[in-house]
Amino acid sequence: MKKVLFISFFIIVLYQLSMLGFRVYKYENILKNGKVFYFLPIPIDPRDIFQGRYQSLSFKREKIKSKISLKNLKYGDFIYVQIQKHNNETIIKDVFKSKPSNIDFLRVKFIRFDKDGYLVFKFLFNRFYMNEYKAKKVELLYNKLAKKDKILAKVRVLDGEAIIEDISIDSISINDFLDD
Amino acid sequence: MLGNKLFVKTLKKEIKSWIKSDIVSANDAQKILNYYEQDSYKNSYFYFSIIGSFLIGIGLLSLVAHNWDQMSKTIRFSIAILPLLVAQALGFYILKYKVKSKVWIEGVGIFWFLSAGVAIAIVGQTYHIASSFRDFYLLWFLLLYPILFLLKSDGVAFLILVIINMLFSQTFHNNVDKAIFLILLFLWIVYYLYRYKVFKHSISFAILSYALVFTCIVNFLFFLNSWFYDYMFLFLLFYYIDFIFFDDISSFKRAFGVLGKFGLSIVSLSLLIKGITFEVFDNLILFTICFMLSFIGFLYILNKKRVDDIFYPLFPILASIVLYFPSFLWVYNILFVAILAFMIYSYSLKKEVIKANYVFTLLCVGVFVKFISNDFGFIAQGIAFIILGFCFLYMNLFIRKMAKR
Repeated sequence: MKKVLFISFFIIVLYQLSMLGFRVYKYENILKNGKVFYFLPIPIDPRDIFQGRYQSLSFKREKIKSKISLKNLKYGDFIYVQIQKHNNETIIKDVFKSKPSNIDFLRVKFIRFDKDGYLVFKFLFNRFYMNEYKAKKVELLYNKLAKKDKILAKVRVLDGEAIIEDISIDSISINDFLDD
Repeated sequence: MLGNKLFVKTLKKEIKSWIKSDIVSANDAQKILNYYEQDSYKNSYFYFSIIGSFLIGIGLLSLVAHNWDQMSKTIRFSIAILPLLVAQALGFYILKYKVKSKVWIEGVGIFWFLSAGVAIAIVGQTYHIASSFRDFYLLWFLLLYPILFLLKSDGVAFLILVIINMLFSQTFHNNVDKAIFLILLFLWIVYYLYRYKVFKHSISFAILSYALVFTCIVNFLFFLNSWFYDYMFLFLLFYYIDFIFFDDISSFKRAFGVLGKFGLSIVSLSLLIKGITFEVFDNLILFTICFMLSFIGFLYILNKKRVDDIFYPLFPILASIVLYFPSFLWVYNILFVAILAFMIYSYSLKKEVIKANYVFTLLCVGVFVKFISNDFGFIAQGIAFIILGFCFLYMNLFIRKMAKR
């Protein structure tokens, strides 16, 4: 009985550590091997009681002309969008219900169809956690910027999954910018 | 009684008279006092350990939330893992040295729970994971669930149930979300049943029972189309669960019984006040099951000659009158009030003041709301309340007289 208990204990310990380790490995893999894309974000500053303050990012290109084959989507369904670099920014080329192959794509969340026939979706990388004092300043800074396209989110994309590597203003990391 | 400070205080006073009456020797009296006082302190330690661990964990979560961006990833992950490793080491200590103390088990359990939260938070924060609370809670549940069986900590079980509720509250309540909720709840109930076998009389088990019943009541809302008969069915189910599985434990610990009875009375009362609504006809199958269940239960309890328990299954049976004969709502009203009156009488005879007053309060609320909603004249309203007031006073007098006899 005691032996079973200890074996169970070590399995649980390994299970807990490996669950966390697997997550770290997955994200590190995206950061290491993912392709870089730049997006135009609109930051606002809410807070998460567990993970602290972050920039909640909405993006300027979160919609695409809808297709008939996608008509029966429901709010929250996952769909895939083809992405392409264009003038140091990223544009959405196409949308699919199932995972495409041989193209750069992102897994996104379907939101709704708007009245102009566009499919509105949401990127899954919409948070950028920051130090609590710095986070408050970003939204104000963004509102003061004359040219909103000076602020860019650098995103690493691998097999449809994405992670924000940094947010920059005039090619300077936002953390460094605020430190200065 | 064990560990109850008020009890120890009363015991101190009582024990003096025992010594005077030569029931116990002074020496034995001191031994008895020591035993209960010691247990009282143990109880204090128990609560302090839970509160202490909880505060440490919450403190760590707040420190994480500051976001120490100047730290390297390695340092961040070390900080993320360190509390978890400490909690695991303490867990190992408990298992190795077979620590039986609830103070230790609950304290370590809660610390383990929160340190896993800290680890998930740091990883999410470092990689800017846009996971919603839903993903956060789901991972937290998956990391923590196994330690329930390892430590057998009811504090952790309670917190995990809170997580399940929080998780479901963050979802869109579509079929996948509902299925996930039901699976997680089922897994939690496995632990609950595991504890039921041995600990159903303990206070911590009673707290878990109340938490479970509240979880069902709150989230049942997302699984039904019309609330009236669905809730009547749910509360009736609670009532029978209590009758079958918790009959031998003290009344305030019987969450299924307390809330099942309360729920049945409130739902029945709402029918008295609101009358029939069309939603009933959309839910005929569930209602028929509810009716059959009430009827079978009624016969079963009657067969057991438990007159006190017979009233509540009568409510859904009465509600059937309104369903099949909507124009006979007045029959329901009269019968419902008659049952309540009989309940008051029955409890008064048995000197069960709290139960009698509860049913009387129910009756008063019903009459009050009925009068208000139906816009009766002030004279009728006034007379009704004066009569009810006198009845209330008379009932308490009657109970007091019965008690004196």
